Amino acid sequence: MKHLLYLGSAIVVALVLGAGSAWWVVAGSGSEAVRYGAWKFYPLVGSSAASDLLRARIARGGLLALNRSEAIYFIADRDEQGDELRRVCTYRLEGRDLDARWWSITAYAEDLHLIPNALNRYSYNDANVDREPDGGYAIHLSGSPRDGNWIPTGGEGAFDLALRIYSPGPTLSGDLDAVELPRIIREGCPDR
Amino acid sequence: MTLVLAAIVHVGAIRVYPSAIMLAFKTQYTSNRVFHVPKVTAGKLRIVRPSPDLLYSLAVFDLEGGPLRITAPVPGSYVSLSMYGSNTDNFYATNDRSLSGPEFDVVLIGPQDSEPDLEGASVVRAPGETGVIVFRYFIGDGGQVEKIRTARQRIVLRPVG
Repeated sequence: MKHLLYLGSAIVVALVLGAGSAWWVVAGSGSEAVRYGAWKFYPLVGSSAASDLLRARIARGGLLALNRSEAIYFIADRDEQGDELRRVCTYRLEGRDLDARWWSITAYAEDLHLIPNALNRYSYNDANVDREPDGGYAIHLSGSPRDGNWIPTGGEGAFDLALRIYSPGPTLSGDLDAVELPRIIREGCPDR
Repeated sequence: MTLVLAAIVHVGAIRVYPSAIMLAFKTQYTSNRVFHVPKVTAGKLRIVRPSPDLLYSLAVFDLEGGPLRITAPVPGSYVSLSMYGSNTDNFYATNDRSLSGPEFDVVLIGPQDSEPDLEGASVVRAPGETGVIVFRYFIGDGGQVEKIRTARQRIVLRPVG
């Protein structure tokens, strides 16, 4: 009886330990990600060459993602200073068009769903973003309204940004070091 | 022994997780039928990280009954057709600018099926009998939405034969 109890306890501990550590690893960003400033990129998303771990991460955070031939996805959960993106803070994104048919930038809450707001405004794309005179754009991320391009991100907790680039051109098919990705500039936080 | 078993569970869970998520997704839809997802807004959806800049139409495919033919007109703006295996791999993707004809015309066959000879249609071999088909339509500044809605109502998914 004592042995059976020991065996049962060992199995339960192993299940909890194994499943818990698996979830911890899947929820992390891991070594498959390549960093470009504030942005993370997973080259093998959607590919048959993806590892089991990358497939698990995609299943959790981006099910039905396209492979690199059709779309490229960058994720940012930090600003350009390396600090976590927080909904109590205000940020400004500055960027220019990329070598692609079209692009979009979307903000997501910690639960990976869109951030609720009265305007139903969650993103901008290259066709609906207001431009600066030089053709670039600035997008404000904050809880209180801003003039120009504004995504309401107010609330508690962290958030992240997804930059989607569809039908990427030649400069996005190879080395991405030279690609000018949007800057994520923190403008202020109530506790800083 | 506990640590060895925990390691086995760890590896097994990571390996099985994508297929389990796909299975859970697929069971929400009737196979071989096209569903048009409304424009996404905040709230709990069936999928995480949806793009508000796209309109999605999707179908769960099941090739046990034989190959399927998929045809769809293009609305004049970006639209892509992609297909996913049960392990989440995106085994096929194309868009409106890659078409040789005026519309998408694809025959999807199973791993063991012989290739049908259907004029004008591209043949795509799926890695398994089941998976998911997704159409993505770019909304842009919103001016094309009605055109897109009309186009996606004309997606046809039917058995070959």
